[in-house]
Amino acid sequence: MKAESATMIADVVERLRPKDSYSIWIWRFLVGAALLLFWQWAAGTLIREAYLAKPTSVMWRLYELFATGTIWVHIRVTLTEVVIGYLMGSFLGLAVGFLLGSSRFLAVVFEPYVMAFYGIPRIALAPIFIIVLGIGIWSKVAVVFIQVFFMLFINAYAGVREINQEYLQLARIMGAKGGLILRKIIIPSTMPFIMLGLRSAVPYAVVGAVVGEFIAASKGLGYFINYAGSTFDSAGAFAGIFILLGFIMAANGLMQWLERTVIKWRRSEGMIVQG
Amino acid sequence: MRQPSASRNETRRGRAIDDAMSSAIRLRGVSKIYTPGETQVRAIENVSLEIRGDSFVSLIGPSGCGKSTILKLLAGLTRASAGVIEFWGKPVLGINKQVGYVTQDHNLYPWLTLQENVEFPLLARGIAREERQHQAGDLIRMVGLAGFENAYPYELSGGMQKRGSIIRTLIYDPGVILMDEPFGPLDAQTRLVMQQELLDLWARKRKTILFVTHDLAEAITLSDQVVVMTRRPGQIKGIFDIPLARPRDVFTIHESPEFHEIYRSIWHSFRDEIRSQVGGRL
Repeated sequence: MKAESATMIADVVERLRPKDSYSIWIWRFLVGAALLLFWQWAAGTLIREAYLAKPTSVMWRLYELFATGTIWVHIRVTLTEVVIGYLMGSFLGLAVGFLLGSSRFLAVVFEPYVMAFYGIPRIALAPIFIIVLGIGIWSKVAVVFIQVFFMLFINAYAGVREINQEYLQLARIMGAKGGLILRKIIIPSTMPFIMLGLRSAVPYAVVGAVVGEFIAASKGLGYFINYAGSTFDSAGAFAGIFILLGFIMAANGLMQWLERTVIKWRRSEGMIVQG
Repeated sequence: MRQPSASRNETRRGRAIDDAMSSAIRLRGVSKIYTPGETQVRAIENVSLEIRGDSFVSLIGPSGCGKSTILKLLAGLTRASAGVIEFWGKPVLGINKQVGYVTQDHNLYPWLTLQENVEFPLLARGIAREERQHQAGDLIRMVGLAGFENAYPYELSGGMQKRGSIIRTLIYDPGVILMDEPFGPLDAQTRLVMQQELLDLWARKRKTILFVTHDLAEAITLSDQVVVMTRRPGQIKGIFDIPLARPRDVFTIHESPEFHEIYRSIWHSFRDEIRSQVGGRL
């Protein structure tokens, strides 16, 4: 039996090893290069360059923005809004999700309100936040907050609801009480849901900040892109978009690393898919 | 076949158990009605049963006859609709922490390593880290899982997971262990190995075991007594003593004529229940 299990572990390790490493990366690079080349050719032939900047001019603009340092203030503002809103949103979302998840009474009372809020596009609340909180960073923090809050709330709530009841019953029979059950069973069992929520919330948070800045702001990447667009500065708009892309990719990488570090106990099944 | 009462083999394992405390478990007129929706389901009806301390008793019956319900009642996970359930002479009122419960699924916590899983009941009792590690390590070695202390449950085979869930129960030394078709999900060979290991463990640790199964051969192989239940609503149809000598060898016990004789007599009672269940469905 022992030998059989040892080979099983070997199988798992084998399955987890990325088999796609070398040739796949070459193909990925080729696809990216082909797209960029097509873009380079199309701008100026298919579409006027005034409307669609060439990738080379976007790169040049990026270099300029960082070399002169003019972009930093925008990055800093957007980053501040995203980070504050994200932290507040995930903290409160988790807390409320756990609370409603573990109390049938609260869940039943609040369900229609939650569903109503969940149903409306929360980004539509941005103008109201701006009326209430002004055009500074706090209105955008609020937009980010509301986006992240719901993401985390829904995931934590579902996670608590999905806990295997036998796990809890056995824990009680084995003598465990409230605090230990929370720490050793409820929280770890919910962790995959929480991590999924934290990860899915990143793009929503960035969208929240940028849309808020589109509506009314004097700083921030959203403001920068919007301004570039309204002055027909295609290269500038693309430069801003590329910075946002870098943002989201870096945050995603961080989240994946966090997830792998926190959840070591699960067979990696690539089960996490989100838009 | 006799009515539920103490067994006649009290001295078999060198213990004279005849006082009132000898009944580890006593059910008197216990019924359980579930109302999942509009309809009522009578899971068990008027079940009376006494189980002597340190004995190995199997509950067998057609599927859905309320075998598991009896275990849930004893563990205090659900309440009886009628009747009294006593545990060492005291009624079961809430969650019963004096039992060990081994379920059909191994139910090791997936986020804890084998070592942490086995230590869990001691952690719940506030026992110091060193002592926990020591005791869990001993049990892990005893069932041949040394080297897998830091493996997560998904990295273990079905048999290893089952061993883990059994020693997690043994570590806090409950007087009674309830086992709900514990070897159901295992393949036939692993099952035999686990049956033998369970018998060996039981011989060393002296527990009262109430073992639910739908496999008659398994029930006879392991038990001092086999309790046959009727189809739903489950009632006790008969209690059979299994006078096969111990220690038993699960790999050869089926070959003995005694085994066959016992099997035939219990099967006679058991088969009618299964057949009438088929008839009911047709």
